[in-house]
Order: sequence, then C-alpha cells, then structure tokens
Amino acid sequence: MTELILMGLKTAVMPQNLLANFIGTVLGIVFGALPGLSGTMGIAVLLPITYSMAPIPALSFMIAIFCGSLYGGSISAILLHTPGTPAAAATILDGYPMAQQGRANEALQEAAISSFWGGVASVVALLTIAPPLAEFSLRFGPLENFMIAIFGLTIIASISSKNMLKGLISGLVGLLMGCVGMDAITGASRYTFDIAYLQSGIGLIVALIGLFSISQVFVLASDSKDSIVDDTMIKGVKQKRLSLRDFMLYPVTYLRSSIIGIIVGIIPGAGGSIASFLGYNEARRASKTPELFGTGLREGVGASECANNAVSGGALIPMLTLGIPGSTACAVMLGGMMIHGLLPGNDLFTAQADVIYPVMCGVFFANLFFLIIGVTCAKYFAYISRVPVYMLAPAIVVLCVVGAFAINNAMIDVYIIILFGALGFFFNRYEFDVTPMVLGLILGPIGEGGLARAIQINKGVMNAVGALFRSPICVILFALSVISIVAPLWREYKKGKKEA
Amino acid sequence: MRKDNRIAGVILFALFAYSFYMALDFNKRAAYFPIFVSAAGMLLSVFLFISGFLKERGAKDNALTGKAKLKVAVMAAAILIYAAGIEYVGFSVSTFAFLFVMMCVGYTKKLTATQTGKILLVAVIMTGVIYYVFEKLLFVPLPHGLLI
Repeated sequence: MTELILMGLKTAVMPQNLLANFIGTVLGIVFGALPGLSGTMGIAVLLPITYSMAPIPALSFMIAIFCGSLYGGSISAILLHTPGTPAAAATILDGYPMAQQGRANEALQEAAISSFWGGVASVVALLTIAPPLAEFSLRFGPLENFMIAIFGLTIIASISSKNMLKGLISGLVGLLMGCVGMDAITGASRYTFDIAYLQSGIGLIVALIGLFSISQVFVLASDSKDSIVDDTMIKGVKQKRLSLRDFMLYPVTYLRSSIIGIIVGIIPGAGGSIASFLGYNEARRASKTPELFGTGLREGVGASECANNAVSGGALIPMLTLGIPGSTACAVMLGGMMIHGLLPGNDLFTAQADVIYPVMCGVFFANLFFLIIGVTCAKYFAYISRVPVYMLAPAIVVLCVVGAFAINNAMIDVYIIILFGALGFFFNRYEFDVTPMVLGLILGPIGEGGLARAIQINKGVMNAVGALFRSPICVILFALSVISIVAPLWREYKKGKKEA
Repeated sequence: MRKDNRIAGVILFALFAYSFYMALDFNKRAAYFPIFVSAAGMLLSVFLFISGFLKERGAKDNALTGKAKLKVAVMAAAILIYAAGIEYVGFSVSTFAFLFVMMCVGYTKKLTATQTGKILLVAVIMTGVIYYVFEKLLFVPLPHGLLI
C-alpha cells in the first residue's frame, strides 16, 4: 500500500492535477462562502466542466470543491454571522464574537489552520481505512448489496428526524423515480410513457442539478433581497502577521476534533454540522475554562472547524468503498465518478488504483490550498456575498442549462432539470428535505436489483429471507439499520421530553 | 404549515395513486417494487393530510407573498422560454437575452442608464465566457439554431 500511496502522491503533484485541485478549492470556497449556495450545488453546476478532463483531475476537482466549500462556510460565519454552509454553524459561536472584538483576521486564520489539520487527519484515515474496507466489500453478494441499500436508506431517519413523515415520503418519491426505465431483471419498461429517452432511467446528475441548483434559483427569485448579506463587518478586517506557533496552538483539540469528524463523516447521513457541534462541545467539556467558550475564544473556532473539515475524508470512505453516499455532496460526486467510468468497490482500489490513489492524495493538496488562501486572503472571499441576487440567479440558471445540455448534448436534459427544479422548489416550499429523495434515487435500483437477484438465486422469497439471517454481514447491516432508525428517534424523544 | 400539509398530502396522494395504477399494468415481476413503493406513498400521504388537521408544535408561517409567487412564476416562465430559445434561436443569443432581461427584471431599484449599461456588460461578458469555455475549450456542440 505504501508504494501505491507514493505513486499517488507523485501523480497528484503533476501540474494538471494540482491546477484542477487549486481551481476546485477556490471555487469551493466561493460556493461555501455564499450563504444559500452550497458545495453540493457547486459540484452539480461545475460537473460538466470535468467531462472533457481525465478522471484524476476531474475527480480531484470535484473533491476539492467539496473540501473548499467546507472551509468556505466559515468565512461568512465569522464575518457576516451567516454560516455559508450548515457545517459552519458552530463556528459562529466564537468566530463572530472574535470579529466583533476586532479579531476577525485571527479567527479567519484559525479557521483555515484548524480546517487544514482536520483535513489532513481525514486524508490519513481515508488512505488507511478505505482500501481494506473495499477489499472486504468483495464478500458482498446480492443479499449484502440489498442490505447495504437498506442501511443507506435508513440514513433518511437521521436526516429527517425533525419530520420523519416528510422524510419518508421524500424517500419514496426518490425510490419511485429510481423505478423509471427498463427493469434490470425482466427488461420490462416502467414509467417511461413511451419516451425512448426514459428507457435508461432518470439521469442522476440531471436530477441533482435540478433539485439542488434550479430549485435554489426559485428560492433566490422569491426573495426580494438585493444582496445575500450585509457586509459592513468585512471592511474592518486588519491583516496580521502569522507566526509558526500559530499553526499548532491547540494540538489536543485538533486531534480530538479530527477523530470526531472522521467518525461522524464515516457514518452516512451524520454530516459536518453534527461533527462541528460535537467537536465544539467536546473541546468545551475538556477545557479548564469552559465559561470562555462563546465569548470569542480562538480554540472554539479551531474545535468546530477542525471537526467539520475532518468529515471530508471520512465521508469519502463509504462512498468510494461501498457506494453509499453519506451526504448530498457525496451523491453528486458519486454520479460524477460514474460518468468518468469509476465504480465504487474493490476494483477502484486494485484495477483503478492508478486513478484513486492520486485522487485520495489530492485531498491533501486541496487542504493545503485553502490553508494558503485562508491565511492570506480569506477576507476577500467574503466580498463574494456582495454579488447581487439579481445577477446571481440568472447566472446559475445559465450554468445549469449548459451543464445539463453537455451531459448528452440533448435538450431534453435541460427540460428535465427545469422539471426537477420545480419539484425541488415544491418540496422546499412544503418543508420536505430533498436529500432522502436523492438517496432513494441512488439506492433504490441497487436495493431492488439485489433483492430480485437474491430471490432468484435462493429460489423464493422465504429462502432469501432465511439466507439473509444466515449471512453475518447481513445480520450486522440489519442491526446497524435498526440502530440507524431508532437512535435519532430516541434522541428526538429525549429532546422532546426535556423540553416538556 | 397545517394547510400546507393538507395541500401536499392531496398532491402526493394523487401522484402515488397514479403510479400505483400504472404499476398494475407492468410485467408481474417488475411490478412488485413500484406497487409496494406507491402503496406506501399513498398511505403516508394520507397521514400527511391528517397531520394537517392536528395541532403542530413550533409551527411557523412560511407562506409566499403574492409578489414572491409572481417572481417565481416569471423566473420559471423565463427559463422555459430560454430553453426553447436555445433550440430555435441559438445558445448565444438566447443566453445573452435571458441574462439581460432577467437581470433587469430582478433589479429591485429604479433602473438607471448606468445600471442598464452595467447589466448589459455583465450579460455580454458572461455569455462570451461560457460560449468560449464550453464550445471552444470543452468542445460541447452548443445548439446554434437560426442565429448563433
């Protein structure tokens, strides 16, 4: 494995790969810093640019957008009291008071430094955990694939614990959309309305562009604001020289938050926002002066930012090894990977090791780039929030339209993103989360295919059910699925009881 | 939100009921999964509808104003016209027209000559950059239609 990592590093530092990484990081920071936009949207909108790229720079570009956006969210959280991404919400607690005390630059630098350490730790985890897990996935048959899909779908419970009913309905809509096209086992057409284009099913990327980008345009259009946020705080930021000591002010906090971030990242559905609050909370609990947290403590910014960036590598582990997209950003990246002919699983780490190792090593450079950008010119990225909405919304539409068209050079994809945009807006308007829908769309066909094959192999439904409980992997996945459903419900129940 | 739940419940029930009805015509083995999903969807939509009559904890009013609804409708219509325009008029002209018109429409204050000039410049530059990047650098055959 060491040779593969060295080979990966060697390829990752090639100019075209570094350039893709750098541009991806910058664009990711832009999307992360803009409240209302997200890394997911950034990847979906910019994915078409990767079509003509080789797989390594293409995938590095997407992952760099993901990493950049995780960091970018902290800039607007610190300067504008508006988290660019939900993951940066905990950063506000100490970041904004620091900005109010005239220490905005210190907070921005701490966010960049701690994010870097979190990112580096997650790369180490990715390089060490992902390959053996991928090898383990070789033991998976149809029943195990079915259970993997079920486990993935149980993420809906944790995503939508606030309104489980709406989350489940959203997931079912996704599952239904996953049925569109030719059935993998019987070859029968389902919900195609005699449209030849629909025989191959609904394109994942097309659906994602519509759900995450076009729907957001409608949200922006319905808002009467001229710019996204008020920016008076940005002007007061003074540059401050950085000492070497500043790079390692809180090693224990960084280590603790990194471990939290990696574990949370691996758990599908948990996400950066949970990690950052956990990281922040644990740092406060371990501190000798917990009362200072929330008053503008540099360590508070470090704890939350380090944890939310450590999620990046952790989230890539189930995506690359088992094909479970733990977050919407991972779902879009998974779609992008497939477009470039890369399928999750053991093959990715053996037959396509020359592609995946440079990409995994490239995550380190994405982190290095935002560190450099963060300590030198983070303030200027906050000015992005001054882009007026009346310019931003039409520009996003054009990028989405050209991106959708470029997938198959077909106008029908453009009409489909509009349809999905309207659907996403409808869901947003009625407070449904679209993430369960995306999970249903991705995991539905995997689950259905796995179950159908298992029934065929075991010659009957009851035999397949029996086989399911004889397979240790299936039993473990079944137990994890139950925990995944019950844990958030239990948490909500306890919270409700506490509030009452 | 309670009224919203009732509306969403009815719409979703209709959607799932239609998909259930369609699934009945599928090949028997291909029908199991869509029938199961549609039936579950119908059931949950009924629950959602009923929840619209129950007292909600921490409910908030997020109804769109008439102006906001109009803005969304204008944006949706503009995107549809833009998409049709790409096919028949060509990508560059439609993109420029879409950007210029929508930026002017979206501007909330009174449009001055300077502001119009600024919007015009942004629309031209953006169209040019996107056309160059996708058509020339990425070799995407953007539709040319009657014009360019």
